[in-house]
Amino acid sequence: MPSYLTRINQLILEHAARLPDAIHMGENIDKGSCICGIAKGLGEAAARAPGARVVNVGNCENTHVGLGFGVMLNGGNTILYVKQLDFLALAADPLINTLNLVRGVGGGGFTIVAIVCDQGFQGPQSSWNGLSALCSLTRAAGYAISDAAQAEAVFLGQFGRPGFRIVALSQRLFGEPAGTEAPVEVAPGPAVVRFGQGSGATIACFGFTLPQGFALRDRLAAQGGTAAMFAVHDVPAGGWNPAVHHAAQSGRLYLLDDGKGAVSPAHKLAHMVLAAAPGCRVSAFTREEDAPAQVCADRFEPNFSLVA
Amino acid sequence: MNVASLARQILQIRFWQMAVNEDLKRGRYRIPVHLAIGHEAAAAAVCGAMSGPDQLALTHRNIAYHLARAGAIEPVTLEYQLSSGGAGHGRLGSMNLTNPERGIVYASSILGNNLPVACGLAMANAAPGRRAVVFAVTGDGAIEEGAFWESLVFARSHRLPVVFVVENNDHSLASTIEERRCPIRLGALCDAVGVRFAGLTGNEPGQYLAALTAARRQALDDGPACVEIHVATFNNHAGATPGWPSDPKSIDLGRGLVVEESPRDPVWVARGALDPDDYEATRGYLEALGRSLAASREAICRVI
Repeated sequence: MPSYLTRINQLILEHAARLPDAIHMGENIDKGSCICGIAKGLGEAAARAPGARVVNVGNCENTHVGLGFGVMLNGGNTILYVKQLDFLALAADPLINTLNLVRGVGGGGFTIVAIVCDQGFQGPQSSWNGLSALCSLTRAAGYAISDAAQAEAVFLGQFGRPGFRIVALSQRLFGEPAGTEAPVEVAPGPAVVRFGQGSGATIACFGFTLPQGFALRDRLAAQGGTAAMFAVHDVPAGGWNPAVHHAAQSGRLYLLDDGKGAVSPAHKLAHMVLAAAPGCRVSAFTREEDAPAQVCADRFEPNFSLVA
Repeated sequence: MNVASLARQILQIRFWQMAVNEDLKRGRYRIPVHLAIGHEAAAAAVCGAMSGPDQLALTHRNIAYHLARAGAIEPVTLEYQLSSGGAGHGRLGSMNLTNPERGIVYASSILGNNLPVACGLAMANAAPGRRAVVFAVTGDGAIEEGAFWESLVFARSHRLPVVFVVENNDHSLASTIEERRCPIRLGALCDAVGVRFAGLTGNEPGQYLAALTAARRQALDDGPACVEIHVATFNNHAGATPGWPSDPKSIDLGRGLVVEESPRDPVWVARGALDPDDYEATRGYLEALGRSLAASREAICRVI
């Protein structure tokens, strides 16, 4: 089984080779470490796509993001690779004001692939993982990837496609096995990716929590229960309906989110489920409230000991 | 475009802006409008230098460019009335108004926001066989923003076909450059990163057109150019003039097109660029335009 990093790199190269006229842009993408290895070989892959360009750039994230929207406005297609998700904070203006103006105009595409530096002890700044918060500013689409099957679905549905989205990768998972379980359902987008046919409980995973979701499912199974697990993405909530319907039927919803922000999209899903099934029992596993201020291991270790 | 036709366009843009100013006095628009009375020579020269598939990325104070590119007032005034017949189909208002069919593809109310977008437009235009230049209009306030520096460096690094047009009206909101920051020698700044620079003042149509045409050629051949144009904004806020008690000018279409008899006023300069017969012909044309405009405006107001 390849590592998470290897599989992500493979997917980037596979899709880049099939994207004519794309502009692949980022600092260090064909130099040095090739952004921790995710873009290794990109030059050769993009060379197989007629008209595609690989552009190594300097430090000006505001301009990179505004530029991507400009290319999109002219019908072009940019994939911007960013070493740290928090660098996008420098681009808050285009992510809000420009996107609000160009959304749906021009027919082009803009995909940002950003790494969350959650491998531990990065400090209060560099390990920011607020993809959901960022996307909620302008209702942009966001996809946090923590598993191979999820990655394959996201790359197939989103990488280099028309419109705008942010794809986030977890550096703490780079050396981990990519995962082998095939999904049983991939909703359009993909808004959600479902793993497992179990009907006794619903596990909804936000952010990079699929590994924790699998662990919870195993624990339930050890107790004789069954569950279906959903990777839930930051997209218009109507796309979450497969997870909502499943939870309404199972009557038991577990929510997992490793986001460091105060507001979790998991709360929104809980509201949707409770509106559909007021008797549903809901348990949420999120970070401790002081997590954003800590220099910490950055692992997300929810306590499932009371789960029954 | 020759100097005489450029001068005539300057008069026309002024006339249309003053007509909009009269509308503003009468409360005919539901949105804020930033007039650019005093910017006509810059707008006319930029538009005169544009060719074929060239594009414009504008600021919130974009009316003069819209009038120049559309060659008509209705796409602007209908938009200001939020009518579906406006250039933005009544959805964009004034500060974000675009008119892609006329090459105006982006306009932002955020200082500096349009500059990275202009780089992106130029990046897409760099595809083989497409020779187009993006004119990115900005101001002396926006060059204080990081986006200006970033875009200048990026455009130079990647030799993007962009002309940065800096309209220096000495104001950001209501404060002058001296009141808010140190001077910026833009030519020296451009020189530091290898960007060709030209500074323009005095509103001479021929000189402006030549400089902007040269900048366009530079952008196509070797990457970005920057042109700083000193302008007087005779209305320094959104809305009609006079509107505020502190308005420096009382602008009234009934008093003619010239606001200030000095080289600061592009119309005063443009008059001098026309021979007497040409000027009389232009004046007659504008008077006829005024009558037709008044009739159509009354009709629009009755419908609304």
